Amino acid sequence: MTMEEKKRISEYLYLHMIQDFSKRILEQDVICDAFPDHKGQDRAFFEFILQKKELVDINVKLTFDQNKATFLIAFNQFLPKYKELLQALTKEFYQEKPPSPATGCTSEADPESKSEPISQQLEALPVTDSLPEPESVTFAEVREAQPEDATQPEPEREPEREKESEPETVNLSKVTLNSLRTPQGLRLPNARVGSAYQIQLAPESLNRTRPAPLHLMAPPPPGLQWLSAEQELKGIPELAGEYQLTLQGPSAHAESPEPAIPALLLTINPDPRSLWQNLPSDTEQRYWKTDTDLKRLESTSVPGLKLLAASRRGRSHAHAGTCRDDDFLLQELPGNWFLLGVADGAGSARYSRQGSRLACQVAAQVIEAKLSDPAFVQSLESQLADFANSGQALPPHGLQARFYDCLAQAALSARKAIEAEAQKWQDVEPEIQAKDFATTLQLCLVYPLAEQWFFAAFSIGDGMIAVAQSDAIHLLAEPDSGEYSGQTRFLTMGSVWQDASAIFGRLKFALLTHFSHCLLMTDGICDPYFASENAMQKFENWQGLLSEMDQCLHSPQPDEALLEWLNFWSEGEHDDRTLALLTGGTR
Amino acid sequence: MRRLPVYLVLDSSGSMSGEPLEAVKNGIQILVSSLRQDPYALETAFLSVISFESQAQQLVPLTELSQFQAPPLVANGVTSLGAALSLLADCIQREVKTATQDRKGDWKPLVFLMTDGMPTDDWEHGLARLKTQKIGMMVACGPNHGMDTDLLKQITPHVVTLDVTDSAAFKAFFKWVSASISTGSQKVDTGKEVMGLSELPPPPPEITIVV
Repeated sequence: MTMEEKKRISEYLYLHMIQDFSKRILEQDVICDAFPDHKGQDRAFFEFILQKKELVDINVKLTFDQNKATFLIAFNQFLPKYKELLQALTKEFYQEKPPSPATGCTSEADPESKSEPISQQLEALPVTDSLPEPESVTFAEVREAQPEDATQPEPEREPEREKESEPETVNLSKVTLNSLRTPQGLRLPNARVGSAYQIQLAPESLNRTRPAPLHLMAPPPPGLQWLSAEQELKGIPELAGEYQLTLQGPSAHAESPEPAIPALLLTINPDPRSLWQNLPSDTEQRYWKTDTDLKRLESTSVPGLKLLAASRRGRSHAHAGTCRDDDFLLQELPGNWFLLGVADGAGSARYSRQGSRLACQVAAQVIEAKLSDPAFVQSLESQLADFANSGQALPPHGLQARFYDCLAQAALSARKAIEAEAQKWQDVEPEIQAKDFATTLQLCLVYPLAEQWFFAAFSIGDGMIAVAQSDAIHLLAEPDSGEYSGQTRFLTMGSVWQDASAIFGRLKFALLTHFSHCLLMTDGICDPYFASENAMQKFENWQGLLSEMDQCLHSPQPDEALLEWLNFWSEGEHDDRTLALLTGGTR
Repeated sequence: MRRLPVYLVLDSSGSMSGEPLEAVKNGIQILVSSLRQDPYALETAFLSVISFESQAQQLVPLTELSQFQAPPLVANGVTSLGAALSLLADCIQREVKTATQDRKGDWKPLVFLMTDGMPTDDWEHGLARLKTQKIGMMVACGPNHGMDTDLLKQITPHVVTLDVTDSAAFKAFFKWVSASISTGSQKVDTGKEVMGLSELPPPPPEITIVV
């Protein structure tokens, strides 16, 4: 037989032996067989065995299945000689500890006779004899390759335990340290440039029984200082990097040398704000769009009524030098109709910047055309007057249907325009489809009645339409958001347009005696400001946003101020931000 | 804030001991220090490390990248892939937030599974458990030789192999994982999610995509 054949056969036999063996490993007598001197079955014993480096090297591993200990031995190392080791370890364990009350193996059972069957079984197998050569080779290799490891498993295991038993406190106020002890030193909780850091080290974590003044061998990282009396590291880090701090205590007395003080390992992360770049977008690219846009109108017919809109490219687009995907529309239409809209081009769609632009343009055209039709306007206005006098909260179905014809129709026309735009590329770049222009769209029409304000809104996607009063907020959109982040619906989706009653359901109305702000926002603003959709329902959660809005409105250049405000910082929120605002609605 | 959970599921069975495990440890260090220079990742990525040998263990719970500290890894035991998949499912279920009325959901998790040999336990059971969880994308990496890539293909359609399992290859793998996490965090920032290998950076020569 060649060596190769020997190997193959022995591997096969090993495999089968283990399988046969594995059927029995849950039986307690087998455990006792393998650990002939084991008096009973208790967790402490198996944990003791588990920690033994010798066994780690030979790939013996124990697993715990509730109270039933099972063990597996890697095929190629299952040899009788390791039984000697196990026996020795068992003895070692039970010399240190009194035997626990026997649970599995009864005390009457003679361990020697119990161990017979398995050892006989093992020795009877030719396999165990045929494989010592490759086995011992791998064993030797493992040991030689890992000389330093053999001395280090214990310090690595210990802190893991500590970590499990103690709750993690990375509170940067005064804490007794719960740091990770590593062979290289004591790993402190990470710091961040520009953020206050303070940590007090317990004497025991520095291998000291009582507090002693310890000094740093070298200056601490810029911005941080070491208070030797308190054994405290504090300050505001200025420079990111990996630091190793070495401490020195008072010279030890010769008769009682103290253990070495571990080095302190500290990672200082950069401030994420400093990492964001602001790269210009390529003006030559298809459907290029400006990084910002703004618009400001003072109503000619309703004194004091102001319309403002601002849109800003998100930091993530600035960092990559790509275009803004958002857009807006803002118009005063004949007959005292005010139209506001925002659109958020999908980040995943390559021409969504054009999708949002088209959506706004086309919606505005369609609505303007509708409201320029005398017959439509005449019946609409008389229906609205009836509704205002009716005392009802919601418009009658007939009036709602008017806005279906107007707002939903505008959105549908926008969708068709996008499809037509995609179609234009059919001959040149047939892979371009309408979904490459995916966008959300929020539209709101505002109309002043004799003593009230009327609002009609239509929304597809995760933007928000809200009307604020001095003490209440009225939401006129239900964000289409999914179970996970980033899931929403787009104007371009076929599923949005299948069910007329669902489309009808996207219409929302309000009739109010006064209002302070009518706001349309893309999720780039909503997400950082509101923890959830539920949070948006509560007026108190809007107060901060509204007062910031008022500050902008009171500045000499409110549109510019609004655009500047859109640059606010919120960690992890770097989407485009667009706002359309109607304000001054007191009557 | 919407988090991007990233799970590193790493084989630390006995066959990884020595040079390969050191390479994995270094790989995690390189991964973390390069991601710390990436503003997207620094703000959105959360990392967890699960290791598996005879048992599976979550060494680091899902942790903000800036607070992440590389765990100690010890190689021993056999390859309980099934236990790892099952534990991964538990961790995702426990740690990844889905949207409710009162909170925003996390992004669907990215999973990088690395193994150097065939599983020794009932991996299909673990896989069945994992299938109950929503995962954005899972990449499985195994050795080119001595690994049944069809098995990995049953776990995820995105399988890559290492031609050799030496420290250079592991280092290359972790660099690629790091770049992939950067891409992932960048995508979610603009509302996209990574769906396939083609959206990740091209793998280095040491890594082969299994088609």
